[in-house]
Amino acid sequence: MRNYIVKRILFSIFILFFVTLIIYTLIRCLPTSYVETMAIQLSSKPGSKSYTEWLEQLNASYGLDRPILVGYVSWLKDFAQGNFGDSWRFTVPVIQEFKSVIGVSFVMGAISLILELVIAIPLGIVAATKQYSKSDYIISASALVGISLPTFFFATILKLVFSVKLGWFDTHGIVGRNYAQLDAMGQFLDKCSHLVLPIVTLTIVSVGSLMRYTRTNMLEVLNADYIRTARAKGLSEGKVIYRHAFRNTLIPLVTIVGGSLPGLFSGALITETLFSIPGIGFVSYQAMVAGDIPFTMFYLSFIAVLTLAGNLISDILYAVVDPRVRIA
Amino acid sequence: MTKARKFLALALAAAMTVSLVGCGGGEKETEAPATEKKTEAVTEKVTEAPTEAVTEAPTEKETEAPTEAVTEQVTEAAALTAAETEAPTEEETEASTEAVTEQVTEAAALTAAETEAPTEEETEAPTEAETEAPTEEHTEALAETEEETEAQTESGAAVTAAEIVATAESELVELESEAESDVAALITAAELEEKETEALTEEETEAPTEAETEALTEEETEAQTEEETEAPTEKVTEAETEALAEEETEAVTEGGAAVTGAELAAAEAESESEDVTPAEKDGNTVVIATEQGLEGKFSPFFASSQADNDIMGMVDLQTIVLDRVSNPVNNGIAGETRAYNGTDYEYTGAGDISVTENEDGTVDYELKIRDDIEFSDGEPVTIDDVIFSMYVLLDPTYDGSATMFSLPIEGLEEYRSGMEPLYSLLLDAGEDNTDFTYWDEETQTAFWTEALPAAGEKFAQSILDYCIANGYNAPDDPVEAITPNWGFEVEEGATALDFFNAMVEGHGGDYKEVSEVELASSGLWSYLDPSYLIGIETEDSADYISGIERVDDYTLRVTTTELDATAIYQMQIPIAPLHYYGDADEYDYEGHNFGFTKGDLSAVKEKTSEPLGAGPYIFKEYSNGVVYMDANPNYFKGEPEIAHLNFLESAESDKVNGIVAGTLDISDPSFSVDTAKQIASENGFSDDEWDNFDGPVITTKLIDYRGYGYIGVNPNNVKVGDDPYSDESKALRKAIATMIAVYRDEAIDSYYGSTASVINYPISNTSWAAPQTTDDGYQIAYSVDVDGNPIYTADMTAEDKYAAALEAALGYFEKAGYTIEDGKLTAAPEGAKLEYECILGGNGQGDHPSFLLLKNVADAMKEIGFTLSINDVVNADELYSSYQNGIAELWCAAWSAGSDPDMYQLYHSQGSTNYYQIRVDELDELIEAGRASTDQTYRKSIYQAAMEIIMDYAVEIPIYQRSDALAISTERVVVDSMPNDMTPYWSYLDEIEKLELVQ
Repeated sequence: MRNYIVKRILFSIFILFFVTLIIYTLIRCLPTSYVETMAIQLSSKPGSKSYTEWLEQLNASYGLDRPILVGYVSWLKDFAQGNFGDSWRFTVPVIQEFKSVIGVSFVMGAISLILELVIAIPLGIVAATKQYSKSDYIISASALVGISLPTFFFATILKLVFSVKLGWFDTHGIVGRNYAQLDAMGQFLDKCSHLVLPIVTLTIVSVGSLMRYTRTNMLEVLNADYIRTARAKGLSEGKVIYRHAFRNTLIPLVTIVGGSLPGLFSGALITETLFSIPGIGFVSYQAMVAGDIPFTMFYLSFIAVLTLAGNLISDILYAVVDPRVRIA
Repeated sequence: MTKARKFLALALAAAMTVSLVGCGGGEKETEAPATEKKTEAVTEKVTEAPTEAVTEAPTEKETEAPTEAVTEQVTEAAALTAAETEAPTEEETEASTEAVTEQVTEAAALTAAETEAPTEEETEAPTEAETEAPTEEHTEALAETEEETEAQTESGAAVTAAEIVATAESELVELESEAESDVAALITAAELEEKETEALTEEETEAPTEAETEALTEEETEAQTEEETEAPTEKVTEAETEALAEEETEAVTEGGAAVTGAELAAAEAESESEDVTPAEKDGNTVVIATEQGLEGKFSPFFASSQADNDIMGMVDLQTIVLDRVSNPVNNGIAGETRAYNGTDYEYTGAGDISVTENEDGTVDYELKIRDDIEFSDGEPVTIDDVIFSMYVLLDPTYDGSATMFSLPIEGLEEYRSGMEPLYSLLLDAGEDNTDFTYWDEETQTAFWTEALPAAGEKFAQSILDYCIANGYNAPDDPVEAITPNWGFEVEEGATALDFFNAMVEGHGGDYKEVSEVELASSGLWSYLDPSYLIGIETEDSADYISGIERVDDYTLRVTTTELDATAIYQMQIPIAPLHYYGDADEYDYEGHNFGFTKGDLSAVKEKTSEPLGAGPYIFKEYSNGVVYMDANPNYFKGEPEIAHLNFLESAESDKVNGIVAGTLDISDPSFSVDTAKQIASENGFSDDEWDNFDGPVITTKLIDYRGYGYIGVNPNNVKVGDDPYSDESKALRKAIATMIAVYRDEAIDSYYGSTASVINYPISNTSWAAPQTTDDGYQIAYSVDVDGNPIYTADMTAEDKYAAALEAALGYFEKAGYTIEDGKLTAAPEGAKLEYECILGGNGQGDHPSFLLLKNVADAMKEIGFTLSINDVVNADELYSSYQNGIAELWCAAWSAGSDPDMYQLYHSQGSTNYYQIRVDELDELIEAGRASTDQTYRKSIYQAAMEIIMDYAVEIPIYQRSDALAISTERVVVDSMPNDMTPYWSYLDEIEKLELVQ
């Protein structure tokens, strides 16, 4: 097992190297350039140097005059040493900006993940045990609706209904108008109420796939020989489903959920942007639009690391829940 | 297995947390209505109390009182306080008051007082209320309430000038509140009083005018109310009245019934109840939309984006203000009235600015600031704060967006660059210098033996000429006859050089002093060979700027070496507190220490995200995508009405919805017909009524944008032959320009509706220099043909005009040297083409006001064999780089104009953003002349001429002037509390302290 993990980690590092190289190359090739925008601004001041002169000077000071590969190597060196540089767009160290926004993204992600589990697993089981029944059709159909809804569309509908028409929630932002005047508890509740719609959005659009996954796996397990055996020896239906079948369904579920744990840190770019929630997704979007290379590189590499870590966790969890894997 | 269990347990625990949080969300929802109830209750109280209090109170007796009271120096008045009061005077008055307010203006109002003012006698009225009421003064009333509140009211009432201390007791009102009411508006109060009493007779009102009276100013009245409303029959009121000035007494008579302070308060209370009930100060927040992703640079020195600047503008106070058309207000301290759009508006600001053009060509800008301003932390504002601010902005390492450093301030160059002119170094080093670090021996020798004497001779000659020219001497007078008039004696037969040497000797060999003191027209240095004027970089650069001079605690003088019409705008800088951004202990004006180490702005930069100033609001915090601000009680125009201000980062799509949903109160949606229709539908109007801007949900205000849209033509890329300025090249560009110009109306109308207009000169309509249709020589852009005859007539339809334009374009093409056969272009002359491209940023979807225009033009020109291709790029950077690098042939863009119409940057050969690449001497001269004058009429004519040249070279086709929109929640914001006639230079943010919320 240890060898296996070490091997996987080494392999992940190898992948990471190429992923970051590709990301860096792509960013350098992006048409939007922070330096160009800045040069335009600076050169339009009275008595200033010309645009080209500024561009040259800025390119040099931002290290953009070097070839992509050289630039990448120097970035990689810094990255490996944990030196992520200063964000151009936010003019603070990348890590500082990251820390200030990751909290809300994590909370949103965590709550919606838990809601997904709480909703998807029981419904999936119900749908599987009552296959082809009315409730199965309803659950499956609504799961499909959830999967098919694009985030931006669903979020806009929610805003229209609950904010504009009903006036229950604010359209955007994470705090209400009187936030600064509230006590600690009031502030907490204020934030909670502003997270309702984003979390609902996140949950609804992703609950469907987990539900279908549970259903499929459950069906598979229910058709297995040992379930028939369990029934044959006269166990109650409840025991068959929740003791024998469900536990075995957990194996694939745990791997999929485990794999999505790192995703809690990646933020929800579209949802956060739509609701103007200053989380990591929203901030990274702004950084990308502004051509902020240090921040974007950090964020994308971070996502890459998370994805690799997610896979690794899945594999390890698989071993945890399935003794056969461990033995093998 | 155990691990799997653990995991499940973990998940369960997490799920529980969720449900808890879920409940939390619910609670919040239920809490909201509760708060509403509370506020409702308060409102009721507020509105009820004063009305009843006032209605019955004043009687004839009261109206009599002042008249008599005023005539006497000391009077005592009986004041009945609170509630139903029976006045123990000759006449009975009833004042039924329900004193329940939290606002104590109203508390004073509770004191519905009756006064008896027996002349030459002191009377004690049997009330429990002791009222000392001075007239123009502060009344402090203390009432006991459940909650303690403070309210400040300003009213102004020069009443009979009574000092009233009223103590009233009221059990019913178990509130304790403190209020200061600043009574200052006599007339208003008096008028109100008039309404109530009706008992006023003209005779009475006339009476006191002639009386000699003295009024005590700024007295404080404390009234304590602790009692039931019916009780106070026994209250004692003492009123000492001293009228100070006749004016005041007159004022009193105008109102007629202005009596004691107590009455005033009652009047005032009513005045409040009549208004739209303004929201209670505490707990009031207005939410203003701002752009997503603020840069967070709110410092007065480093704010660069518009949104950051808006926030900075709330926190910081500017030295001077600009009026609605961006003219500086010279007398901000006293206030100045200026007309705009037929209405007079009063402008007041923190400072006065005066400009003096000196005879030697230098210009003095004297800036004087008010002596009564404080920063929000209570520290007084002095001129040292302004000097500190200027030094930061002028520091050699300053890299913010302000451009004050571009001003020709005396001594600035030496300060900023650490460079000194060579002559200055040579003079300082002396003739015998042996240090040749910065120059060689030869230069030094030449300077002392040739250049300096030569310049001296010319300098002396200029003095001689001056004396002759001014009639001190006859033209034939020898040098020795002239010099005595200048205070120097020279020998017979002396030359101008001798005269110069005499002057040098007279000043002990100090050439610099000679130049400064003796000059007639220009200084000595202006006669030096230019090679001695270049700056030499030395280790020691000047440690101060000689052109910034501290005159007194509240005044400074900035001297510029030459007249620059734009300089006055640069005198508008935010006043940054020295004690906060800098180090007040280090500041020593005489010792050339300005609160920070020159060249080191790190301490200033540390405060970039946390501004402090003397503006209307205090910056609290920027977090969660919101900038929080609180009203500044020290603001010199008075504490703003709204206690809290939130700038909420909002996406474009939320700017209208956010108001409907109650998230936002004021926003600035990007305005187009579509936006207008959305707003109309929220207001319950149909699509056709989209231009009805006053709706029940959203009120829309349109403000001309401070810039304009244009299509530029690069003469180097669109030309005939080699010369971009030849008549042929001009004709080619005019052919295209004529076609574009004629299609503008239709396209702009379809994109912006009636909220944008087509413009005919390359300048924003919001500028004072914009030519008006009524001006002489005003004409539609590109409306004459190749022979100079008008292309269009008044009775032409649109179709006729298009045909006529095409005809005129052919004429221009012909002149440009194109071959035309059967009305079609068949060949282009050398250097020109049959196809040109226009680049624009319409997101690749044609989403641009000029897109339809260009498409129509392209279709029309195809008929004559000319291709105009449209390159609609998705990425705006591509557009910018193409025209800024001079690659584009034609391009669509927009300018955002500054305060001054100066055209140097845009059209001068040396202009840094002259993307048209127009380099024409004639134009350069006009632009230079324009910026060298402060005469607006003259400048306007100069700029009109300059614009005509620009159009003649056809490098720019002005397209549209659009409007910015302001969407305001009609339900929450008192729309009338916004300023009228907002312009790009005068928005509601400039009068934010007056903004009110509806409750």
